[in-house]
Amino acid sequence: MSLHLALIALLFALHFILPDYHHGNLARVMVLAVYAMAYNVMFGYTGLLSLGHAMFFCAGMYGMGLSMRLYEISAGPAFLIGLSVSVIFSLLIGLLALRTIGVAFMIVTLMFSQAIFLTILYFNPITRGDEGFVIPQAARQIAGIDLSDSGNRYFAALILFSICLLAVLKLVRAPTGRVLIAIRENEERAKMLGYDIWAHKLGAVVMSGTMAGAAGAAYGLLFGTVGASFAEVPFSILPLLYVLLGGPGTVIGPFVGTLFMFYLRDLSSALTDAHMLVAGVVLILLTIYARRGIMGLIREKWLKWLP
Amino acid sequence: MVTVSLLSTKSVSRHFGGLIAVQDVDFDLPKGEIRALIGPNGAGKTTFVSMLCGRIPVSSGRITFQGKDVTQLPAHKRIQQGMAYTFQITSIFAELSVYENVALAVQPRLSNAINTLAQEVETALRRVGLQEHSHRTAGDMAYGHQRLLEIAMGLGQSPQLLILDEPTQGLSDAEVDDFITLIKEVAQTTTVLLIEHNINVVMALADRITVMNFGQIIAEGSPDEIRQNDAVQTAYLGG
Repeated sequence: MSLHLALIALLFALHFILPDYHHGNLARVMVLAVYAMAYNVMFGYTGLLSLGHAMFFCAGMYGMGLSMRLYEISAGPAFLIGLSVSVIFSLLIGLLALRTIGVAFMIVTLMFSQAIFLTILYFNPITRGDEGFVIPQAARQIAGIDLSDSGNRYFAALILFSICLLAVLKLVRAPTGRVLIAIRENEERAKMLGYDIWAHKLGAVVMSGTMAGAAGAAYGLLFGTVGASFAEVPFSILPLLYVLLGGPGTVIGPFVGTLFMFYLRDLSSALTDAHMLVAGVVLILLTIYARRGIMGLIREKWLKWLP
Repeated sequence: MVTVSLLSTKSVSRHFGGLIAVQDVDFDLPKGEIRALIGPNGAGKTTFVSMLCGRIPVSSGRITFQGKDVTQLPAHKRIQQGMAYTFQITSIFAELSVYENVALAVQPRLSNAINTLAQEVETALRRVGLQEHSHRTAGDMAYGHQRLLEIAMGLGQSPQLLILDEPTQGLSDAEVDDFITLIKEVAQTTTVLLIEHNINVVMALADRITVMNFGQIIAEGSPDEIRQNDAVQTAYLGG
């Protein structure tokens, strides 16, 4: 618990000392880390590997964005609409996709996500398709606070990040979290201890999808863009990479992975255009030497108690 | 003495395609008994108990547990009603600690009193003699200890009916003796259904024995009756 509060305090303190460039980066990393934490609930804790998480991100992003663009709803309620859309959407996807397991589950989530991507393109007049649309600066306000201001944006990202971090921590410490891990480790055994596997998996999908949707809605609000590139396949793979790097099944791992990957990309693109090549090499090294990701390695070697 | 039936089946069958694994089995298990289920390999014992606890559905027939028809209930609901099943091939949460394994077994029945969890886990581990290993990773333990952990999980569930599928397989002689003592103690509060190949264990523990062959019950009775039964001799030794 204290470690996680310390991280939040550190991020708070960094607001006052970071130079502009890194300050802006960190705000973005925190929102993307929420997306990665969402992914971790399903993949890291429950063992459900989705290849279509972009659809959940977009459910929140477009739920929020379209209600602002089409109905001129203000930012606060629009965010809540984005969140509600995510809940309903992830419940629906869960009910359908959880009829499959393993590889079939990966394919089904990938296909659903592609269907969402193509739907966004198809309704080009409404969604502006590939190009996307901008949420005007004037509209990006909640209770008079201008979210386009870099300081406010940082704090908004920090608040969302903290809520999600503590929520995941609470989940994995609760009896329910223990059951999710049991499902990941040995589903058949978990069933024969009397747990309703289906209900727990569905719960994990809804929690994960909703959190990913919250990240999507926040991203749109804080950075002002809504676009179909967030629905593409690579954006579904991204949280998988973040989680694998940072440590699946650790609470802090997704943040560490997101931060690591973000700066890896940032620093390597200063050196070469082929920045994904660098990322690829690092990923290969990590899978060889730290198969459980950065935080997973730390847990294995030093901090056995790390949730 | 009036015996109360805990579990009974009425013409339960299971086919796998054209193969008949279990056919028209009528079975009755009174409360408080230790029942051994024996039979040659492939007799349908595991298939039969898998139907009892809901791991595989019946092709036809009816299963009653504690007076209620559970034939259509999914496995987890039957477990919630007081069955426990330990797997023939050791099935634990290998990556988790011994404590977590047992906690997962204990937790469902403590939903309102989660603060006694640690105590209950400790009790279950102590009964099988694994209390010293609480913090070890389950998969790192010796095979015999993993078997004991499975039994501890079964005990942690505090079931009405404990189904043990070949629990002594792979245990040393000393461990088997401890196991016999343990099950005798468990049986004071729990009905036990035991699939077992080790005939010494069966004779030491069972109140009654049910013998299966080719998917059917061919004999049932006290250990002495079974020992003298011709059909059983034939099934085991060949006719």
